[in-house]
Amino acid sequence: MALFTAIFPYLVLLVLLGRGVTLPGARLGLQYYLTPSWSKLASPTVWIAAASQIFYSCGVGWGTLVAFASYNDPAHNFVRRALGLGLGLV
Amino acid sequence: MEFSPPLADGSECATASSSTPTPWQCRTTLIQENRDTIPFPSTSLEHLPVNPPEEVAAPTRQRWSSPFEFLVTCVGYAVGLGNFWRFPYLCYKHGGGAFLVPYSIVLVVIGMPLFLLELGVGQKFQVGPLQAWRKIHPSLAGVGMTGVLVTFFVALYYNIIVAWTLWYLFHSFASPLPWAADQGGASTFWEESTLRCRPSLHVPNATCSWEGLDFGAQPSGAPGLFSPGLQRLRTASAPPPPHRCTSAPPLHRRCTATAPPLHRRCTAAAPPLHRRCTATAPPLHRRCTARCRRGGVAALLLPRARVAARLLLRVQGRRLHRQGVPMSRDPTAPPALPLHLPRSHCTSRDLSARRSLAPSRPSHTPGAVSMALMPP
Repeated sequence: MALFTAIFPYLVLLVLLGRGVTLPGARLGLQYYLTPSWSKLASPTVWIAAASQIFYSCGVGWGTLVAFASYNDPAHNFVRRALGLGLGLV
Repeated sequence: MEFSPPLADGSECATASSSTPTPWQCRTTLIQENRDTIPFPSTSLEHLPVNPPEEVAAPTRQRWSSPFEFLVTCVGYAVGLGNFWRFPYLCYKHGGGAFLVPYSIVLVVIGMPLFLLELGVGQKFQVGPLQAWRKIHPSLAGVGMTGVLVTFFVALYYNIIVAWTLWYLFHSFASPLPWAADQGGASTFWEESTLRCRPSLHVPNATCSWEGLDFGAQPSGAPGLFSPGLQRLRTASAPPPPHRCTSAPPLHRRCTATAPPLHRRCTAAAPPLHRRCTATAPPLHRRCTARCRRGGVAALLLPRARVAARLLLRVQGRRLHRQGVPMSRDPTAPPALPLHLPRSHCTSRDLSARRSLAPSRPSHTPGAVSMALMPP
């Protein structure tokens, strides 16, 4: 069950990606997405938005991770897990 | 009473157990027996082994069945609405690919250390967030509480987003998609049907209360997230009158597409705006549906209530008659209504059917029959 609920969202993501890039006008969207407008980086709101997004996408600060990890063996090597997950998120 | 450490051969606890106890069991038994008298912390306990044995350990916390399960759960937890919905939205709003730069930096600077910290705290203290931060220091209890509180608040509005996905899921089964270009477009469906904040057939008097909010429109004039519908709303000096299909932003697609003038007056006249009414209904039907909807539950219940009241009266009259009071039927009284009135559908066919039924019933005054047919 855990396997399904963990992997199925990624499958959905893949399907959505495939659907998205085959839609008409996908090239324009990708161009907009991948063409950075560097002037935006000067405004602090962008950084604030990025920081707040981190809390959502990492799931940090909600207490959930503390609860998850509390069921680990105290000798568990969580540093390796966290680094792997963090790199995966990038 | 001074507690003396047991001897290595376990001779002091020979009475505690019939079989020869291991030194461990012996000490444990001794401690348990002398729990009240041992001063704690007691220097005499320093002889005891550092690691407590299984029997005296606190009730063990549940464990992941494998480290892999924990990993998979974390991975599944990391993917959610935040990645599906919030990240693209922010990415679009804040300069496309350039947003990836602050995102990555912040991920390394803030995200991963916090990730490590939370995992470490949970694993070390073996309790949930509320307890863990308090265990670090009592004044840090607010950290855990705030996290749980924030989760609660976010769950409030995540509900709505999840509801939207369900709404779109159900509507995606329609054969011409309701948000297809020829059906009005995605923003029309979003504003009229999903948010119901634009006046439409469903909600004639709707206003976009969030109109003043920034939903991603760029200050430079670039289209916002919900454009062009939002742009149209903003540029319009006043929201269009709700019932006039002819005026500029078309209120209802079907109406503008094929509606004759009569039809349009129909939608204006019928307040709750029945969908069937707008499509193909003749005038009679239209008035009917409007009246039916006005009737609602009362139209269903009131005739039956009347019948019940009359039945009660009749029973009472019979009882009085049995008691000697002469029972006289008033010839001007309204006739008894049929018990099983069909539910008041007001189509013309129903009307004629009921008119044909009417003479077969004991009706003295034709006005009463038409009264019965009219929903209150």
